[in-house]
Amino acid sequence: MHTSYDFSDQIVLITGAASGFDALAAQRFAQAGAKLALGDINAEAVQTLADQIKAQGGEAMTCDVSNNEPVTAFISACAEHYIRLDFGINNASISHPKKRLHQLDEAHWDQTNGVGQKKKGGGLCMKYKLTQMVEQQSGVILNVASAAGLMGSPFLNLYASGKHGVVGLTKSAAS
Amino acid sequence: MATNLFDLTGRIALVTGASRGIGEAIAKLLAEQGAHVIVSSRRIEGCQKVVDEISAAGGSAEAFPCHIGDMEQIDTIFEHIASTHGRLEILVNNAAANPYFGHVVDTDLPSFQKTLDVNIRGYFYMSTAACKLMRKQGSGAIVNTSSINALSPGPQQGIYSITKAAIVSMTKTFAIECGPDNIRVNALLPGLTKTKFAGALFTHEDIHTQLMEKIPMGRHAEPEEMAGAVLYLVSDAGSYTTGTCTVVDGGMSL
Repeated sequence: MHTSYDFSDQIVLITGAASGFDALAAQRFAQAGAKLALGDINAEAVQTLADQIKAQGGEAMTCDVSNNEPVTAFISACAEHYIRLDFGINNASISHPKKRLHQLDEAHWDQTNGVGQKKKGGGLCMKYKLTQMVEQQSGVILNVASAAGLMGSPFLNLYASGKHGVVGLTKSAAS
Repeated sequence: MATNLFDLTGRIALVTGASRGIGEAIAKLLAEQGAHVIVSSRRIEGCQKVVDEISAAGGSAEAFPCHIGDMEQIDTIFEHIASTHGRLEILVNNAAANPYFGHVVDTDLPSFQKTLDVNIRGYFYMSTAACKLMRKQGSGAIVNTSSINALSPGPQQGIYSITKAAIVSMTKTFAIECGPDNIRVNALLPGLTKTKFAGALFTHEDIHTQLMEKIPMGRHAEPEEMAGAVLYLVSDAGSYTTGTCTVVDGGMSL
């Protein structure tokens, strides 16, 4: 009588997938029948994860984003390979040295809030996923933020700023 | 084969306001996942109908009437649970009262009192009774059905919205104080849902239009669409989730 969660033939794209809870999520999705597209800057680790999933009978493709490959290439490759995209999980993230705000370099701003990271990185992922999802008239996007997206975080100021941005972007896109 | 994080086999769940609407949908889903569900509302006839449907689908349930605005009836149902089951893993505080629909300034005292007696005192003492059982067994999960009116008061629903905001505070208070006992407490904040309880929001055309314009998904919810969130909150899938407000409103509160 118990209903198990079933994601048969659903297409799930995960960024930052090589480790942590997203790697677990990838395995769970695969066990529930989903087909995966996995991206991470650690190309070797994400390929190992994909191989494990395939060895267990699942289906997974990877995308090497170690050279800041544009997210559009990853999402296009996924859409081309699987034809559609049902779930997009944005988890790729970066932090910075734990310092007071005035002690951080300008480079840290770019790293955490600029090109390829947090708001811009996640936002670009959403942009291209939404392009696909709007076309197919369905889809679910999950942005991994943090408690630091809801409250101030001492010495993690730029990180918190980026995560607040993720929350704002999520709400805006949803509405 | 993956472990089913939503499996509730062997757990005892009490759902109030379960004879119809959101409560009925929650009771049926928890039973479908293996829980033994105590289906409760003021009148046993409505509860028994839900129990019969759960039983016919292969689930386990029993009907027990309880008006949570009556302190004696709260004592009675928990005496029954203690003597019959000796434990309670899940409480879904879902029964609510909304006797007054109109301008807040014209709220009459009986309606004010009834709304507080059920939505605040009822939820509170149902929670304390449940927590006493859960504390003994070292675990438990409570979900309080609040409303998005807790975030932004609904039109013509002043005192109801005030009590729903109180439920959010109550949820956080219990979550903090009962966290060390491994009791998780969360709130469900439904948006516009097609139930008899919310009937006035559908029959007043101007209000309904006003509400629908605020919903990005462009439609109201069905009761079944609330149940999945509750299942997450009471099951092992939500084992580190406590003190949260889970908003299920099609984006209305954004």
